[in-house]
Order: sequence, then C-alpha cells, then structure tokens
Amino acid sequence: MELLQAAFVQLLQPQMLLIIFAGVSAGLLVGAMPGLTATMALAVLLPFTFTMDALQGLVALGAVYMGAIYGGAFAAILVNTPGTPSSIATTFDGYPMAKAGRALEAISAATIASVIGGIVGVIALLLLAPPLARLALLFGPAEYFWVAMLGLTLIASLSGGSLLKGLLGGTIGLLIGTIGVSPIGGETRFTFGLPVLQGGIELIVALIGLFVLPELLMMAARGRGALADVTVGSVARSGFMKMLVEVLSKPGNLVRSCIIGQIIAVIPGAGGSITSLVAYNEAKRASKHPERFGKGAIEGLVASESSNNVMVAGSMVPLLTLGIPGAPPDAIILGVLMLHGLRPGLELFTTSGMLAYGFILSMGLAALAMLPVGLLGGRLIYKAIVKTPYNFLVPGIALITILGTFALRNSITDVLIMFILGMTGFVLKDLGIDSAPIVLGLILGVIAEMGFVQSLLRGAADPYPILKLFQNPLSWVLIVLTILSVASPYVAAHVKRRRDSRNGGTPA
Amino acid sequence: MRREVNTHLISGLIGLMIVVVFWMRRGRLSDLSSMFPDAVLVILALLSLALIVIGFTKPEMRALFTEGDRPRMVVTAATILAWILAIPRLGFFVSSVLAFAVLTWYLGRAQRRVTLPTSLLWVVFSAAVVGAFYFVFTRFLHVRLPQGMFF
Repeated sequence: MELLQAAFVQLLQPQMLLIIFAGVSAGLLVGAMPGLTATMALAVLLPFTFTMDALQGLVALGAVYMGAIYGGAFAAILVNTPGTPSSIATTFDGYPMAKAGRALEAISAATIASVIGGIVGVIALLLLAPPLARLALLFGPAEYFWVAMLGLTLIASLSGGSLLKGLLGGTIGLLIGTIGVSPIGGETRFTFGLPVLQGGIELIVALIGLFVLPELLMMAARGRGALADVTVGSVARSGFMKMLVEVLSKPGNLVRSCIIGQIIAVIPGAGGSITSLVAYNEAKRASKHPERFGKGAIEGLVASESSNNVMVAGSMVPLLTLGIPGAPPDAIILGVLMLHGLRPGLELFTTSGMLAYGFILSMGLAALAMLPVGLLGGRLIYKAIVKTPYNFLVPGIALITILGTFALRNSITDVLIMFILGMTGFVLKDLGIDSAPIVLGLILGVIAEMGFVQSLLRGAADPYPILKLFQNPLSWVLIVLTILSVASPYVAAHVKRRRDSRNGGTPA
Repeated sequence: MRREVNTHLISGLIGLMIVVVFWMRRGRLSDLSSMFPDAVLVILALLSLALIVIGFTKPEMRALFTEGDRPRMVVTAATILAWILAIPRLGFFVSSVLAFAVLTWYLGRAQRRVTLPTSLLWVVFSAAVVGAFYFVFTRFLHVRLPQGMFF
C-alpha cells in the first residue's frame, strides 16, 4: 500500500502529468487515423521515449496506448471507419448517431465509456496482477513451456481464419526466436553470417516490421479512400452532463461490458476487436430494445468503448506476471521493459515495485486525461488529421519507422531486417497468416525453449526425459487448456453444422 | 479480374522453404542448443505438409493483394527499400529528403495533377520535415544518424 501511495505521489509531478497528457494526445492523433492501429502508435512513438528513464518511458507509452484505443472511436463515429480494430463495434451505432446530427453526443458517450473502461481495467490490473505474479512462482520449467504452448494455440485459434495457418505463423515466430545465442547451450544459431544477429532479432524491430510496414503499404495502396468524404459536424449540442447521466443510468451495461473486456483481455492476443464485438453482442442480447442497435443506440456505443478500454490495462495482467502479451500493443511494452533490463514476474512488483505500480496507476491517470483531451482537443485533432493528405502521411510514417528502428541499436542492418520481416508479414497476411501469432511465437520462443530444455535436463537420468513435461498436476491443467484451445474451433464448427442441419438451413 | 491462387498450398510451400533454409544454416550444434530448434523445425515441416495436403484436398482459392492499387504498393515498397539501402551511402539526411520527396510526389500524383511549382514546394516541405526529425533525433535524443558521403 505504501508503495502504491509513493508511486502515486511520484506521478503527480508536473513533468509526469505533462507526459501523460502528451501521450494521450499523441495516441489519440495516431489512433484516430483510419487504418493506423494502437500497436503502430506505440511503435512509431517509441523512439521519443529513448531518453526518458524506465518509468517515464512506460508512462508515456501507457498513455499513448490508452489514447490510441480511445482515438479509434473518433474515426468510427465520424467516418464510419474504425480508427483502430478495437473500435469496429463503435461504428455500428456511432456512425448512425453522427449521421443523425448527434456526432458530439456520440463522442461524449464514447469518451465517458472509455474513461470508465480505462479506470476499471487499471483496478483489475492492480487487483489481479500481484496474486497472479505470486502464483507464477509455482511454475517450473515444464509449466512455463506449457504456458507458452497455450499462448500460441490460443492466439492461433483466435486470430481468425485457418487454425493451421495460425499455428504455422506461431511456429515461424518460434523459429525466428531461436536466431542468435542459445539461452542454454550458449552457441550462436542461424545468424546467416550477420554479426548483428548474434544478439537475436530485436523484438521491437520485428514488431515495427510486422505491424507497421504492412499497414503502411496498405495505406499507400488504398490511396485517399479511407480519409475521403469526411463530415465532422453536429446539429445537437454535446450535452455532456446529459450524456453522463444517460451512460450511468444503465450500470448493468457498463458492468457487463467491463467484465467481458477484462475476461477477454487476459487471453493472449485476443485484442480489442474481439473484446468490443463480444461486449456489443452481449449488450444487444441483454437490451430491452435490441431493435435500436445499429441505428444509434448509446448502449451499443458504450459497450464497445468501455470494453476496449478495459483491455488496455487489463491485457497487461498476463504481460506483467508471465511475460505473455494479452494484446499485440502489449508486446511493445514488453520490449520496453526488456530494453530497461526489467523482467515480468513477482520481482517486477517487489524490487521494481515503484516502477510497476507507477506504470499501472499512470494508466488510470491517462484514462482520466482522455476526458479533457478528448472533449476539448479531440475534434481539433481529428480535423487536422483528415486534412493531412495521405501522400504526406505515408512518407512521414515511413520516416519515423526507419528512424525508430535505427535508433534502437544504431544499426542499419536492423532497419533492413525490419523491412524484410515487414514484407514477409505483408505477404503472409494476405495468405491468411496473421502477424500476431508470429510475434507471439517470437516472444514465447525463449520461454518455451528454456522450459523445454530445462525439463529435459531435469529428466536426463530418466529413461524418457521428455516425460518430465507431463509430470506435474499444474502442467496437466495447462495441457488440457492447450488441447481445448486447439479443439475449440473444430468443435464450434461441428456444433454450428449440426445446428444448421437441425434447422434445415444450409451451412454458411 | 486477378488470378486466384491456392493459399493453403502456397502457405505450406513457404513453410517448407523456411524449414529448408534454416536446416541448411543449422551447422553443428550441441544437443543443448539444437534440441529446441530441431523440434520447432520438425513441427513446422509437419504443419507445412498438412497445409500442402489440405491444399490439394480442400483448396482455398483466392486472389491475392486485391485491396487498393497494386503498382502503387509495389512502388512504395521499392522506394522504402531504396531509401534504406541509400542511407549508408548518401547519409540519412540526403537519402531521406530524396525518398520523402519521391514518395510525396508519386502518391500525390495518384490523386491529382501535380504542377512543377507544387513539386518544388513538396521538395522544400520534405527537407523541412526530415530536417526537423534530424534535429530532434541528433540534438535531443542523442542518436548518431549515418552521415554517408555528405552529412
């Protein structure tokens, strides 16, 4: 508790508050651009944190993350294009509201829901992370290996499309993770004659390549389409207090959406798009007026925006305790932790407690900062964005991408690796192999290898050392969950086929 | 209409290609260093083979890169690659101004007619943007950017 208080006092310094406001504004700026994701926001703004200390850097990126997810709502409401994938469900009711001249009402409702969601996520992280970090102490090498496998199979089954392709992507990521010095044997592997690869592929280099470059190329290919025909106008006044009363008058919707957001947030790689769609769907099912959904129902907007902002802090529960990102943007945060020599786990909450709690609490302040930033500056920022021609935007983002990658290790080879990985990710994405499993494979590779090799070494005297992976009850819990995550898409498809045939309809 | 391809088959073949490339670069490794990558290579090979088999039995036929203008995407990617390769030779500032101006002109040309004065204005704009980032990174973030043959 004392640590929490001390961390909070530290955050109240003017410099920290300035970082939070600047971070939220910058995140909102990038997040509000159609097609630019929160991961991209974190990746392109990362180099600006290089001269900051660990806490300032994490606070800035946490604020950018919060702002970017919220910023997605602006494009969703005003242009009917989700600024970030997390705001897909926001378009369903946000845009109809804007078309009906209620754009400012929609923005007010989205802001209130985002602030509440953001704060709930922080509370959940504060309550769940320390006990989970203590639970992680019970994990031995075998359990860590199975946690890594569970993460990979979960993301493969959740990333959409073919499970086999998702697993292929995850395995490619694991393989990329083996480049460089072996964590146990100490020998260098797969360096392809490049000395810079002896240290492995830098996580952030891979993240920038796999997440930013494909989006950038798509933006160039699409042209001005996404930003065209924008109408930022509103007949109705925002009536902030009226909206506040309306949002709070349906606490059930808020509570349900936040709980859904938190549950999905801890699943590795599930991300905000799934969170907001599930919350929206449940809000519609529970509503007394489901027919209003899709025509400008505030409940739908609130469900989407509160749940996706819960995810920002909520998805850091597995990240800060086990080192497994709950959503793709968290991978950047993990990269920053590693850059500063910090490792997720109980140690982060004890020896670096000030930093861990400071970072968590700062996300709560960032959620609160969305209120003034979004309501006062949001429309101005948005107008500036839609007026920026895309032929300046593409080279501008490319410039920051190259600069950011180079600045990590002062290496032009890193920039070239970023480009190669980005192009590979772009081609694979079009073939149906998403970047998220590749990145998670890269992150989990070290955890999986350490667990795998250490387990086998422990069983070296046994006739079958591999059986060490299957000897603990906790391992079996994780094995069963892994099998369930692989089987779930097939079971769901089978159930759907049976239901379709029972209803006499043709399967979709 | 763009030609449809068998995405399962191509994915499987790419997976197998990666296995071959990594296997050829494996070299001699001790058991401790090789047991995990070997296991990953075996799994990757099996998944790739499974995708190839599905590619023949239940092919997923789809056209690739259908969204947007394909030549524009290729030119953008090629310009970014040329930009990266030019940095060690021309230096960060010169190569970035050139690449930024080329991209701005090329992408701008796709949406409207670009006159000579506009092009010149965009070159000045490119130099200003790159200059601003150059200044921030070298002076405030203390990053030593490549100088090349110029500065």
